[in-house]
Order: sequence, then structure tokens, then C-alpha cells
Amino acid sequence: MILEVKNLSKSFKDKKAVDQISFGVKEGEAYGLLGPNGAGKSTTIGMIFGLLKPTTGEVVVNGFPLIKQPEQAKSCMGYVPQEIALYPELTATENLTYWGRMYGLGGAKLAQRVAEVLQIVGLSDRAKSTIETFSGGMKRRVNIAAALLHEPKVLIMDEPTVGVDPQSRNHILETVKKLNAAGLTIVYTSHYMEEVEFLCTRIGIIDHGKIIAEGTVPELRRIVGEVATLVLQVSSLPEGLLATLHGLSELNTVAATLEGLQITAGDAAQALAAVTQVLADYRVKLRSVDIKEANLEAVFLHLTGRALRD
Amino acid sequence: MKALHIAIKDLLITLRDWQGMLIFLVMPMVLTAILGAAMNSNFTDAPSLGQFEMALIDEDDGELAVALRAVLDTPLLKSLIRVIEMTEAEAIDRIAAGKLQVALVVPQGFTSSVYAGNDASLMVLKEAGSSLRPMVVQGIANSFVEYVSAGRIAASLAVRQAMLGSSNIDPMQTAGHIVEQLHALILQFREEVAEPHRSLISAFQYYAAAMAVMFMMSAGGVGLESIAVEKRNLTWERLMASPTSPVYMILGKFLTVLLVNSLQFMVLMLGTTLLYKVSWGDNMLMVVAAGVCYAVAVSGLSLLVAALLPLSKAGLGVWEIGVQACAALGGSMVPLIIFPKVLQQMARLSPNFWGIRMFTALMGGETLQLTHVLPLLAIGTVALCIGAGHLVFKQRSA
Repeated sequence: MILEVKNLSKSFKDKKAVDQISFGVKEGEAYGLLGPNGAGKSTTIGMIFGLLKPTTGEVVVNGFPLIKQPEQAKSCMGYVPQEIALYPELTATENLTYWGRMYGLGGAKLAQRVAEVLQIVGLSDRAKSTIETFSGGMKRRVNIAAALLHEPKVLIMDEPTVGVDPQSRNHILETVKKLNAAGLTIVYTSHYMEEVEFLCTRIGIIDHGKIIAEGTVPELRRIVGEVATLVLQVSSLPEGLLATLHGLSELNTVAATLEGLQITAGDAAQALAAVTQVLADYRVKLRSVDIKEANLEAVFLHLTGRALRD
Repeated sequence: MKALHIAIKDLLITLRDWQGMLIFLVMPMVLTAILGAAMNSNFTDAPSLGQFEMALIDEDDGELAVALRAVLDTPLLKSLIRVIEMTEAEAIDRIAAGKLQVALVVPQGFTSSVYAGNDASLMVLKEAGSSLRPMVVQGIANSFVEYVSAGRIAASLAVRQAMLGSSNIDPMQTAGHIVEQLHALILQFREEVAEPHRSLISAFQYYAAAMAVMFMMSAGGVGLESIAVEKRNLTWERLMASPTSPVYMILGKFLTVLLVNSLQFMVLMLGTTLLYKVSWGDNMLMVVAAGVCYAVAVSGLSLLVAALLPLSKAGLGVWEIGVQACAALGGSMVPLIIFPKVLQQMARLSPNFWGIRMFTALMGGETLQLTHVLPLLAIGTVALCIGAGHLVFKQRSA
């Protein structure tokens, strides 16, 4: 394991922000920590980097216990904070040179790494511009570049796409995907399940300071069973239609929502065939159908009774 | 090395803030010009002050009054003050008629009072509305009394020690010994005043030093603000996440203020030398070393305040209030010589006092002494240790 988090807890006065969290990340893996705001993700990251003192538990990075050998442990990690932690008055190169020095780099090696990471994040042409002249997305990319300078064993990213425009978000996700494909271990926290699902091979779902489920995406989907969600837009809702649909054995649940008829079923194709037959009987026109396979949102809903963004 | 890199980065950011630099560099130059010009004609510079008359009213007729006359007869004071002896009534009449600005009264029993170990003082009578010439006379009177009182205490202690050791001491002989000691001290005082290499400084020189120490102290806020901004921008958090020891982080901030302050001092020194022909002393290396010593005190205090106060606008406000209070108390705004005695003693609490004292001594032709730099280095080191200790403890227990 490149990163081991063992029984980590953190209490602020009476409130337990993190409660006995344990997980391990293997070399080359992309591990996602998925949970809503306030679930304890950032507190966990804070403890992994020694920014917060754990109430109990320990963190071991590449074999170095964080408490006993903080400098060695921290040297193995790259930190991408949630906010842009850069100096706006300095240029991208000046910022990266400074952060490189804080990780013990210097001389020609530092200059070379600065050029390389700027290339990785696609900002070589803006090397000499001050950060204050950058767009939000570009700042985020430099924020990531600063964490890559010292070629860390594991890159830990704390919600790196918050408040980013879709184009920059895609660029960041693609960059992280490529870094992982190149062998870099990633720990990625987010409340966007699509991001975690896109990037991560293994995911821990965190809520109220506890990991409530952990596994690969297929493993997590199995928690809720093979359920699909069908959203149908129809021309009208005549009396008796909902009752008839409820009577169909192919469907699990039926509800009339603002989006249309929302149906869950074990087999989406069989369910759709049965529903179209009933709609024809009632002379109701089917305008659109949207079929959603079970996702992490559904898993979270299943486990907590709340949506991820609640 | 990491501490130095932190400081260099901060210096770069500070230098790019041209508005801040304008305040730190241009304002002291402007204020030196205004205050220097306003006070120049009446300051302690002997030629510009001009020789003036002072009435000496000797109601004591004792040995110390004679000693005071001898002090006033030294070439330097003689070139500044023309002493005319008269009675108190005559002096009051002449002051009332506007024919005399200042009179120095040696009260009856002054000598015996000093010898008896009681508090004694010389009195200055002055014309209403005039302040600078009486200020000079008051300064001389205070120094004289301070000198003879200090001598008396030292001599008394020496005698007491001797008496404890032997019961055969003749009190008359002891009294004679005390007087002998006082004579030696008076002679020393007279020599010091008359010392040929020690010149009085001009108003421009005084205010160049006074404004430099005040604005260097103000620039100490750079350290506070830099930590506050880093905490707000989360670069402090990022630094903590890196393999950089908290000790280096704090040392880096100390060096930041030290670099900014030292640079600021050099610019102010060069600026006042070129623009106002201010002489900071004969040995430039000593002057620069003095500037760095003062910067050490400011840097330490800046870090101490950063450790103890919340790093918010309120915290920075407290620093600015402290800067103004130290400036007022330490003689950056008005020369200390016109302060009451109690305030003159309290001024020692302000780094400005020690800074001005050190720079004016160099301007007056003295060399840099340990007594000049030690108080400042002590302030800086003690403040750094307390501040750093507190910050590291806070960080580790987060």
C-alpha cells in the first residue's frame, strides 16, 4: 500500500467530523472518496497531510508514519487543495519554482520540472504571466502543476474542480486520467459522482465522517441491485393509467414527477415493452424515454436515504 | 535555505506592491523634509540655534553650583549660552518684559540636599510661548542632576560597603570621599559635554533617524500581513502540507521583515543623504549594521504580534496603533528632551527610543557601541523566540 489510513478520527469539541475511517490505496490505483459537502472528506485530507492533528488513528505514506517521519511522508505526496493556493502577484514559473524549492528541488532539475509540469497542464505559453491574469480554470491547472513538481508517489486532490467551467473541468479530468494511466497513484475527493466514476478504480463512499461503502463501481452498484431508472415523457396522464402501471409485474416502482413518469425496474427493456403496450391501450403518446442504469447517486441514496447534493 | 526562499518570495511580492512601497519609502522622506525644515532653525544645532542669554540664579552657593558654572563654562556650551548671573526677581522681571527667554535656578540647599541623599532638582524659568531654548537648558539641567545623583548613589554604596567591613571609619572622612567622587563625576560630565568629536545634530538628521525608525516599524506590518494573506489564500496550508518544518516557515517570515526593513533603511539613508545632505555618520558600514540591528528588533516584534493576535484587519490595526504609540513615546514625533522625566524613562520601552539613540549617536560622531545594539538585538531575539514558540505550538496542536 502506498497510503494507509488507519482508524482515523477527528473531533471538534463535541462534533465528530471523522469517525474511525480506514482505507488503503495501492500503487498505481485511483481511489475516490465520494461524499456530500460536510461528510468529512477535507478533514480526512487535512489529517493525511498533517494539517490537522488526528484525535485517534494514524497515516502511513510509502511506509513512513506521518507523525514520526512527517517530512519523509509529506515528500511522497502531492497536495492539490480545494482552493487555489498560489501567489497571484507572481508568474506561473515563479510560483512553481517557489513550490518546487519547498519540496527540496533546485537548480537545473527544478527548471526542467517547471517546464514539464507546465506542459502537462497545457500552460507552457503562459509561463511568464502572473497568476492574477489567469482564468479560474487556468489557475486550477497551475494549482495541480504545483503538486506534480517533485514527482510524488501519490497525488491527493481535494475537490479540484469546484467552481470550474465545464471546459476546464474536462481538461483537468483528462489530465488526471492520463497521470493515472502513466502510473501515478491518485486519491480524488469529490461530491460529483460522475467525476469519481470516470476517474477512479476504487471508491469509498463517505457520510457523516464514516466510510459507509467501499469497492469498485460494479461492486458498489450491486449494493442497490441491477435496477434501472426510466423517465418517460407522455402526452397526458389519463385516469387509471398510474394504477394500471402499478399492476405490471415488470416494474418495481412508478411515480409521476415533474420530469415525467419515473419508473424503476430490474430489466429496462422488458419494462419499456410492457409500458408502451399500456400507453397504447390508453391512447397516450410516448414523447421521450430516458433510461438510466444504477449509478453511485443511487447507491448513496440507497445507503443514506439522501441525495449526494442534499 | 527554505526560510530564505520564503523570504525572497515575500520580498518579490512586497516590491511588486508599488503603493505599499510608496508609503514605506516616500512618506518618511516627505515627513523628514517637513519636520526637518520646520524645526531646523531652532533645533539643537548650535550655529542655527544661535547664542542666547540665560540667567543663572544661584541661591545655593554650594559646591555643586560652582560645578554647574564650570560645566556651563565649557567651550561648547559657552558658544551656545551666554550666562548672566542675577537674582530670581530680576530674572522674572526680565522674562516678563520679554528681554530674557530662560533662567536656571539653583535652589537654596541644592548641594546639601544632594549630599544628604535627598531628591534635588534645578528649576528652569521660561518665557511663555518659547520652548526650544528652555528645552536645551532643561536638558542640561536634567543631565547635570542625573549625573550628580547617580554619582552620589554609587559613592554611598561604596561607603556603606566599607563601613560594614570596618567600624573604625571616620564619618567626616567618608563625607570627604563622597565629595571627591562627585568631583570626579562632575569633571567627567564636563569633559563629555566638551568632547571635541561629539557634535550636536541637526533637525534634518534627527528626523531622518526618527522617521526611518517609525516607518521601519510600520513596515514590520508586512510580516503580519504576509502571514494573514497566506492563511487567507491557503498557501500557508499548502506550505504546511509540504515537507517544510514550521520552524523554517516562521524563520522565513522573520527574514522577510528583516529584508524589507534593511532594504527600506538603505533606501531612506541614501535618499536623505542625497536629497537633504543628511550625514548618518562617518562609517557607513556601522550605519548599515545599526539599521540591520533595528530591523532585527522590528522583525521579532512583528512575529510576536503575528503569533499572539488574530491575523485579521483588527490584528493589523493593533500593530498600527502600536507603531504610533511607540513613535510618540520613543521620540519619533517630538524630541524626547522636551518630555517630562517620567515619560523620558518610559520611552525606553519603545524600540524607537533605542533606534533614535543609536542613529543619533552615530550621526554625532560616535562609534557603534554594544550598549546601542544590545537592547535592540535583545528585543528582536526575545520576541522571535516567544512568537515562534507560540506559533509552532499552535500549529502542532491544530
